[in-house]
Amino acid sequence: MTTDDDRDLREHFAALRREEEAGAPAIEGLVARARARTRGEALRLRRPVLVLATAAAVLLVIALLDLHKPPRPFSVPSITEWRSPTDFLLQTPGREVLESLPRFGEGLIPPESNERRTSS
Amino acid sequence: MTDVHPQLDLEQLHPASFGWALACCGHDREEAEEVLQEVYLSVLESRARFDGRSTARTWLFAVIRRTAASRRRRGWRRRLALARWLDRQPAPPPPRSPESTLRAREATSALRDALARLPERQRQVLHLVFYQDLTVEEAALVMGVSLGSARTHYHRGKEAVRLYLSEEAS
Repeated sequence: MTTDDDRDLREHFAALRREEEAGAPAIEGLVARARARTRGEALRLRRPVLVLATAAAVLLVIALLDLHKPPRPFSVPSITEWRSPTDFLLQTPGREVLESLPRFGEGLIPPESNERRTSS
Repeated sequence: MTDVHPQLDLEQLHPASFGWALACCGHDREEAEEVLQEVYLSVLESRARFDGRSTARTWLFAVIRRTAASRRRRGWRRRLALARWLDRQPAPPPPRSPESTLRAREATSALRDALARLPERQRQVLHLVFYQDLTVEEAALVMGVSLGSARTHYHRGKEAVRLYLSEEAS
């Protein structure tokens, strides 16, 4: 396709070709590096998967160990035994008067309090 | 090691492939090596298959051009910088006398500068025709353009590169 008029360009390009081809890297080295890189990238991509798989395995082992443990005795306190922490506030003075029936011959006020009043 | 198709001898084509890869990568040697690594691996792992419909060289050059363009688009350079640094090996010294080397370097450097000023298509067609000794038709196949378009780029490229070379000389 090139003509004699293009001889100048052909010579220039031939010189460029000689120089560049002399500096071409060995094909074996290029292929080996490409293969090594592919392996490295494959490992790098596989690493997160390995980490996730290990974590999943550990969680599974923990879950299995937990399943095989004997069940802990589970006691629910009865509602009748329950006492409110502020129960003491309901213990008002004179409450016993309200909780008992009055009887004939007995005063509402206990005898000790009567004695205290007469001595004073 | 590299014969994947009877007509496709990667080893024999390697020096020319390297020159074409350099041309596709703006004469960035490291990038050209990366492109070739990717191309060779694709060929050897049969991800890119030569079907024998064109010549082996035309097919391989088209793969190199597409790979270089794809790499430019993806912007892999930063990601691979560390790997490149780890893999780097010293380039073999050019086997020439100091004087002839100097003269040749001046000439090739002037051509490189002139080519760098050309639009990509013109640069590619000139490289394929003058450096790789392909016909304009084959160059059009490699570049993925019509023959008419390749011819236009070829003629404009020749005029422009001559002009730039004369500017450099004066």
